[in-house]
Amino acid sequence: MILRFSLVFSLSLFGLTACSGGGGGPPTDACEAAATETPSATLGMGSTIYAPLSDGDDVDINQGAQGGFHVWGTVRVTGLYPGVRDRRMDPSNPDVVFQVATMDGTIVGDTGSIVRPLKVRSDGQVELVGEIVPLMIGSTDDLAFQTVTLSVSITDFCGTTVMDSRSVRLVPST
Amino acid sequence: MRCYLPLTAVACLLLLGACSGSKTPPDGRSSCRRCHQPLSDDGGVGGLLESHPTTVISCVDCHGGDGTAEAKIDSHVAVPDGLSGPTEIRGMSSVELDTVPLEYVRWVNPSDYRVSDLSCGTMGCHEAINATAPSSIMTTMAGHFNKPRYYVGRQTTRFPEVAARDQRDESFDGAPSAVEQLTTLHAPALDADSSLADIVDKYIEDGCPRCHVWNFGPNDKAGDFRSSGCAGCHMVYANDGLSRSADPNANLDDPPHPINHRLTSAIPDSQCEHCHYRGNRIGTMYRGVREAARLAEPPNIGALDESLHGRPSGFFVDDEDTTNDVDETPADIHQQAGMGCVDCHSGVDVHGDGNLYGAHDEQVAIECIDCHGTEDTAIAPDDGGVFRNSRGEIMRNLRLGTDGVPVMISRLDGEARPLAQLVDLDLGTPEYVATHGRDSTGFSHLDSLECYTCHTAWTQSCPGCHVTVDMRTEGRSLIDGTLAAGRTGGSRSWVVTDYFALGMGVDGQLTLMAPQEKMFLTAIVPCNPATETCTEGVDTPNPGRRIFDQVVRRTADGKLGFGFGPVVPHTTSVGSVPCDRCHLREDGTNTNIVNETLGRASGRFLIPDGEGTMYDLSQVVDDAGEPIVGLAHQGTGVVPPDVAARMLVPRVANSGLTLRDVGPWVAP
Repeated sequence: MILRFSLVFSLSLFGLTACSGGGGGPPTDACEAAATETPSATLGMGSTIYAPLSDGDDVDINQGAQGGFHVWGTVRVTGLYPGVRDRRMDPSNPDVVFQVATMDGTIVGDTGSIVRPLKVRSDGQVELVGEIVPLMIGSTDDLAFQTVTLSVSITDFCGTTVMDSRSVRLVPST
Repeated sequence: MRCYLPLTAVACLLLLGACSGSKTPPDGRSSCRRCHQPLSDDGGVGGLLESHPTTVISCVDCHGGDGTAEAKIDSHVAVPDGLSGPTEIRGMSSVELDTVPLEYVRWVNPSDYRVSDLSCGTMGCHEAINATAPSSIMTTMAGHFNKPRYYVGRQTTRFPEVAARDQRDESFDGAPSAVEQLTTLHAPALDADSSLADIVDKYIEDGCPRCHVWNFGPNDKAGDFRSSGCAGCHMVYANDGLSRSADPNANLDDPPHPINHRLTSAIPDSQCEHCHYRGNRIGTMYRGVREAARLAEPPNIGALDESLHGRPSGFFVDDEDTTNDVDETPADIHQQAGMGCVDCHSGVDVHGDGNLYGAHDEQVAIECIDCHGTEDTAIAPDDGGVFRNSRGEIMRNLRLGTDGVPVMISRLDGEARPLAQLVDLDLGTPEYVATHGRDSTGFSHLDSLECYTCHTAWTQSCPGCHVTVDMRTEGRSLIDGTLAAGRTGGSRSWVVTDYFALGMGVDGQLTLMAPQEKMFLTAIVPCNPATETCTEGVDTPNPGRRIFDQVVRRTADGKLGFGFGPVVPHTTSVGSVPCDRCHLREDGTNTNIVNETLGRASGRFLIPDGEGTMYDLSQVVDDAGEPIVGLAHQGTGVVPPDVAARMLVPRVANSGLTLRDVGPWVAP
C-alpha cells in the first residue's frame, strides 16, 4: 500500500493550500457564500450513496478481490466551498483526510491528504461518498470486532476546516 | 418498427422526480418527451438527449410504458412488488435479475439481453449482433472460469465447461476450440471437508463475474459503473457514475447513471476500463498505468491521486521514477496517437461469432498485419472495395485515403490516420534486416513471432498470488447473489514491468506469456479452541484453522497449476525489446535473462508453499524443455526445443539490459 503523505505533511499542505489565492480558484464571492452556513462535517457510510453513521454502528472492513483492506470514507458538509466537480485536480478543491485509529490512538487507516471536489446535490447537500480509506492490516482478524475512531478533516480553498469523528465497530464484510 | 430514441438504461431517470417544467405538448409529442424533453419558450427542444439520433424510434418502442398517458404513474412501468427501484436491479446478479419481470427489465434497460430482441436486436436493426453477443467470451466469462479449474484438476481438458450462465450453441458446427454448451458454475457449499477444487470454484464464483454482461455488475465503486447487455459498453458511464444529463427530471446526485442518454460506438477507453482493469490489466496498461505491489516497489515512483476500481489513491503507478524524464511505462503507441480500444476491437472481436469459446484469443480476430500489412504486401481493399481482417471480417473504419494510402477513420474523433505499411518501412540497416529481413537460411522473425512479441514496451506481471478463502465468514456469489461460507481475499507479492517470457500462441507463433495465476491457496475454517488447535484469530471471537496452507494446485495430469498463458500487453512501441532479452550475448553475460525468457529458472521469484517447499515462479520448463506447469489455453505451449537452441547461440551485443531485483519474498 502506498501512502505518500504523512499526516503532518498533510496538515502542512492544508496550510499552504489555504494561503494560496493566486491563479484560478473559485469566484471571489465563493468564500462569502460558503460562510453563510455554519461549517460542519457529518460522517456517514456507503460506497455510492450516503447513509447516516452513528457512534456504535458497525462499519464493514472491505477486502478487494485481490488484496488490501479498506473502509469507505463518506461525509456530508456545510459551510465549505466544494471545489469544481468535474475538475478533479482543480486547485480550489478541498483537501480531505480520512483516518481510522484504534482506541489507544494508533493510526491503522489513513487516506493521507487527498484533493477531492465535493458533490453538490440537487437538494443542496454537499458530500463526498465512497472514498477508500486503506487499512494497514494483513488480515481482518487484526481489527475485526474492534471499536475504532473513524475521523475526517476537510479544509476548503477558503481556509475553513471541518472535522468529525465516530466511534464505530469494525466487522468483516460479506 | 421505426427506430428512434431507445431510452436505454436511464429509465430510472424517468422514475425519479416529478415532471417539472412541462408545457402543453404540440401534436405528435409523447408525454415522455413533455417531461424529459421540455420545450423552451421559443419552442426549442431541450433536456434528455436522443439516444439513437441516427434512426427514428419512439421512447416506448424500446422502454415500453405508455407514451400517451398524461400522468407519470400511468406512463411509467410500475416497480414490481418487492423491489425498491432501478438502483436495486442495477446491483443484482445474473440469476437474481432473471426473477425480475421482463417488462420492468425492459423499462430500466431495453438493451439487456433478456429483452434486447425487442429493442436493439429487433428485425431490421441489430439482429445479427443480438444473435451472437449474448454468447461472446465477454458475456460468458468462460475465459476466466475454466482455466483456474484446469489448473486445479477439476477439468481434465482445455475445453471450457462452465460459464457465468447456461449457454448453448444451437448451430454448433464443431468449430475448433469451441464447445456446444456451457453450464452455469455453482460452487458446492464449503466446509472442513471441501477439496481444493471446491474452493477454487467458490473463488471463481465470488470474484470473477463482475464483468459478466448478463448483469449490470455490482455498480458499487468508482470506476466500475456500467449497464448490462448492449448498453454495458455502448452507454457511457463516468468513473463517478453520475449523470450529466440536461433532462430536468434526471437524478444527477446518485450513481449508477450514464453520463448522458446516448448510445454510441465512439466508446471511450475509460468505459472499457470499467471491466478491463482486471485479468491481464489491458485497460490500464494501454494508458501507461500499472498497479502497485505488496513487496519491493522501487523508490521515487509516481502514482495517480485517484481512488479507482476499489483501489486507493497511490495504487495506480504511472511513473517508475519521478526523478528522471523517462517514461518507463509509456502508453501504447496507438493510444498516444489518439486511437481508442474500439478503433481496433469491433465486430466479432467484441460481439463474438456465435461460437462458445474458452479464451479471448479464440474470438478476437484483429491482427497487427490487418492494418500494417506484411513485409511483402501492403493492405488493400478486396474486390468489393472493403478491407477485411485476417479472418475475413470487414473492417468498416478502414478506407483508402485520397493519396491511395490506407487510413483508419477513428471511431472516437473521426480523424483519418494513415496506416504505416511494413512493406514501406525497409530501412535497410543491419539491425532492420536482422529483425525484419530474411537471412541466408531463409529464416525471418516475421514468420514465427507475433509483432508485439518484440514491439512491447513493458508488461505488468504479478507473480505470487496468495488467495485465501475464509469460511469463518460468508462470500457473495456474483452469479446468483447468495451468501455462503467462504469469503475470498488475497494479495500479490510482486508487480514487475520487465517479465518477458515466451511461449507458443494459438496462432502458432511465438508470443509473450504472462504468469497468470501463479497461485498459493489457503482455506480457513471455523475452529473450536477447546478441541482443536487454532491458528487464525486465536484471540478473537472468531478463531480459525487452515485446512489448506498456501497450497500449489496440480492439474489432472500432475503438472504444477501455475498459470502461464499468452498475453497481448497493449503497450505497443515503435522500439523493440532488446535482442539480448531473447538471444544469448556474445559475451555470455545474460544467461539468466534468457533463461527467464525461455521459462527456465531465473531465481527471481522464489516463494515457498505452506510446507516450505520452494518454487521458482519463473520456471515453466524442466531441463529437457518440457513444460512442468499446466497450459490451460488451447493451442499454446512452451518454446520448442529447436527454437530455444537457436536463442541460446551467442550472437548479439550487450544492450546493458538487466533484470530488476525484486528482493526476497515476505509472507503476507
